[in-house]
Amino acid sequence: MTEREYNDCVDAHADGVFRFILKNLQHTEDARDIVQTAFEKMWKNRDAVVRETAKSYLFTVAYHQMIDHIRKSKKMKLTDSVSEDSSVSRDISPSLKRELEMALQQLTPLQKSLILLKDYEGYSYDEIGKITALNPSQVKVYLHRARLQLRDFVGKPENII
Amino acid sequence: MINLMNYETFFLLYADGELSASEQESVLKFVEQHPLLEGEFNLICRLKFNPGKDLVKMDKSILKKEIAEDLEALYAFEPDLAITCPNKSALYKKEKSAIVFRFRMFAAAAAILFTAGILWLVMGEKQQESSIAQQAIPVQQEKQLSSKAEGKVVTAIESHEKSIQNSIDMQHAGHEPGAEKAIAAAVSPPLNASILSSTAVQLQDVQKENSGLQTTENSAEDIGATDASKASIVDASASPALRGNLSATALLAAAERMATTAASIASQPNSILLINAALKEEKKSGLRSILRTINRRLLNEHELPQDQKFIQVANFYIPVNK
Repeated sequence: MTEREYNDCVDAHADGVFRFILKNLQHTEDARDIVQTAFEKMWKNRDAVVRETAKSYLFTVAYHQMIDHIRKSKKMKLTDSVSEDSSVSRDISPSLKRELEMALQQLTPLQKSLILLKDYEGYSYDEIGKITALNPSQVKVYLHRARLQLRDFVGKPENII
Repeated sequence: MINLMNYETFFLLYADGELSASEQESVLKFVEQHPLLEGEFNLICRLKFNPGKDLVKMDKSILKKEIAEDLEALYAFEPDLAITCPNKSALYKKEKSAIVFRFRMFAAAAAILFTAGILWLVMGEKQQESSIAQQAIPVQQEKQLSSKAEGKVVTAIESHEKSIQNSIDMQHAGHEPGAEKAIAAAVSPPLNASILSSTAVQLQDVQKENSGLQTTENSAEDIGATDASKASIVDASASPALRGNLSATALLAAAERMATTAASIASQPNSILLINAALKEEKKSGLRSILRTINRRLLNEHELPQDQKFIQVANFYIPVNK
């Protein structure tokens, strides 16, 4: 990978990686640091990375950096269920979007990453599995569980307009 | 196939976009068939995060690297064409030296080729001379054998003469009682004739071979004559007067030796064939003969007559009859 190709990758994927990390961490500076670390690592390994696989490489590196950051900082509670906040979620919210944002924060980092990789970047089960070091069946199961939790948190269907 | 037990999975797969076109149609048909499940299907499809309006951008300037080619383009120096090299004419190379160098190369190559050619010709002449010398050995051997045969004849004649003379002296002195018999035995026609005839025939055969005639028949006759002489010698030796100091076995051995000598001369390869082979070899090497002629003229050697063939042995030329 040449310098020119590296800069092209920065223009193409920097925003997407930043958005993904930011949604997970909910912290701009931490997200910027993680994105910068991911690109630096790709620059060091530019001889082994080709332009076509640069996006998945960046997301993989950024995801693992994010998990390490979360474990170190323990900023997010790792909860498998949203039963504590289910009562709050069952309140009627003015907009679905705000409900979803709140529901998203109730998910585990893995589930959140799976949702965002699927909805924000449009990755397939296979590609998500390569980024998160899971097999496609596991990605499918974890992703479905995350969506059902979002459904349960948002409320009953009749409450959604 | 979607049913009431697995419809939730199919709804989620539909929301993730992991179903084929036909499977999506089957899901939609199922929802139409089950209106109560339509609300849940719609909620699942709406539980998707769309970046859309909250598209967040990052400052990419801190991520980008400086491109070396761009730096070269921005900070490149242009050459000052006003500066020139003084006395540039002194740096030029002359073409003559190149030509001289090439001439020397060609001359060296030509000298090497010429030397190799001379060596090849010389080696070829030496090989031919050695082959001719080997072929001339039988000729020399034949000469030696013929000289030996002649010597034997001479010694035989001399010995007989001596014996005759001794007998005569003894008779005159009156000391030897059996001198008459000894003289008679010494000059006995059968023995003398047989010995002389056998050796004379051998000499003739050798001479005939040297002159180039076929001698196989004569050699066969020689063997026959030798056998006859052998028999005559044995018979003569049977007489007590002639035996003297020689036993029959010794005489027989001497006769056998003379016979094998004649037979060996006859059994050796025919020198005529060898000479003919040498002549053929001469004909093939036309270039070599030309060079030999040139060599002789340069060294002021006597030229050989053109109408006669010669075989060269060392510095001698042996004429060969055609």
